[in-house]
Formats: sequence, structure tokens, C-alpha cells
Amino acid sequence: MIIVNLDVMMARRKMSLNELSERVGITVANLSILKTGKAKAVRFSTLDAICRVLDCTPGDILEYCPDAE
Amino acid sequence: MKKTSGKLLTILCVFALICTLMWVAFYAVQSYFVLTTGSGNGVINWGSPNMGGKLTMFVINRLLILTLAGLMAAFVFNILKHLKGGTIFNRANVVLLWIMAIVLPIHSFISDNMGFACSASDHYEWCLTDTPFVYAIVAVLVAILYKLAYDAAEEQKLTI
Repeated sequence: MIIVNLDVMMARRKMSLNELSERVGITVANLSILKTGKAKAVRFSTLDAICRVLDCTPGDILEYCPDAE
Repeated sequence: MKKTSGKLLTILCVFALICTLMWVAFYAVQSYFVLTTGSGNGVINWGSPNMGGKLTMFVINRLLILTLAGLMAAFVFNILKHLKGGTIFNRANVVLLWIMAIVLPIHSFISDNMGFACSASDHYEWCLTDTPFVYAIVAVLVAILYKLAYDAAEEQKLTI
């Protein structure tokens, strides 16, 4: 499964959800869906904007974790 | 959703509601003639054998028509309610369509038989035509397509 580490990167950059939402240009509700791992898919344009604002790479935000059988 | 699409859908929904009302009104008028005309095909043959069975079938038929009209009206109202949110797909309508897919062929079967049974002067045989199956196929197809579209819309909603 894919784990979203958006909250970790936000904490590292000391950025609130509201500030990230304003700078990325997507709603707090949608960012919250992404942060809590409820999102089914992420657009490249969204990933690009988040990486630009948080000054990181997609690998810092998304992590692959094998499912426990 | 585009503004023009929203307007067009609203017009279609209002049209569907008017059609549902006319459908119920038609059956209300028809009920009057079925019960009072006294002879002819599809008309209650008062005094003939098995009146209880015939009247039960008539009542079930009318109740199914009212149920279907209610389901259709609820379906349209649900679409109108969700239109402002930019979608016409919602879980309640998925359930409503599956219920309609069950009720519609039953209504068709009862409706087919009511016509023969009511005017029969003596014992009547139940008949099975292809109409209930046609209704069932169309209703199930619509329900499946709506469910697929609803799932796609939900997935789209969770694409950030």
C-alpha cells in the first residue's frame, strides 16, 4: 500500500494545512483527504505543486509499504 | 458541471416529474372506468366468479403504480438535490434504481394479467408475456450503468 507522509513533511517545514492549501491552490478539504490517506489517486499537477511548495520530492511524500498478508 | 448542463438537467427533471404526475393521473382516471364501466376488456366484470381475487389484483396493481411513481419522483428529487453539488450521481438513487428494477417487472406482470382477469366471466389462467422480462432487462441495465457512473464519480471525487 501507499502511505502518504504529507503531515511529516508539513511538520518538517512547519507549515499548517491552511497555508499549504493556499500556496498549493487546492481546498483544505481535499488536502485533508490526501493527508489522511483517503485519496484514491493524486494528479501529477497536484504532486508537482505540493513538492514545489514543500521543497521536496514525491518520494518524501509518498512511501510504498508491502501489505501484510 | 457547466451552467447549461445544469439548466438542461433541471428542465429534464421537471419534465420527468410532470410525466410521473400525468402517469398517476392517467391511472386514476383509468381506475374509474375499470371499476364503473361494467363490461369490456380490462374492465371489472362485477358479479363474475372470484371477485375477491380480481379486486385484490386490481388493488395490488394500483399500489405498485403508486410505489413506482413514488420511486421515480424520489429519484428525480435526489438528482435535483445533488445538482448544486455538481453531480447527478448519489448512493440513494443507486438503491432506488435497484428497487425499481424489481418492482417494474412485477408491476408489468400484474398489469398484464389484470386486464385478462378483470374481464373474465369465469375462471382465468395466469399468463406470462415477454413484457416483464423486457422491463427487467432495461431496468437492470439502467441500474448497472448508473452504479458504474456513481462509482466513477466517487473515485473522481477522491482524486486530488
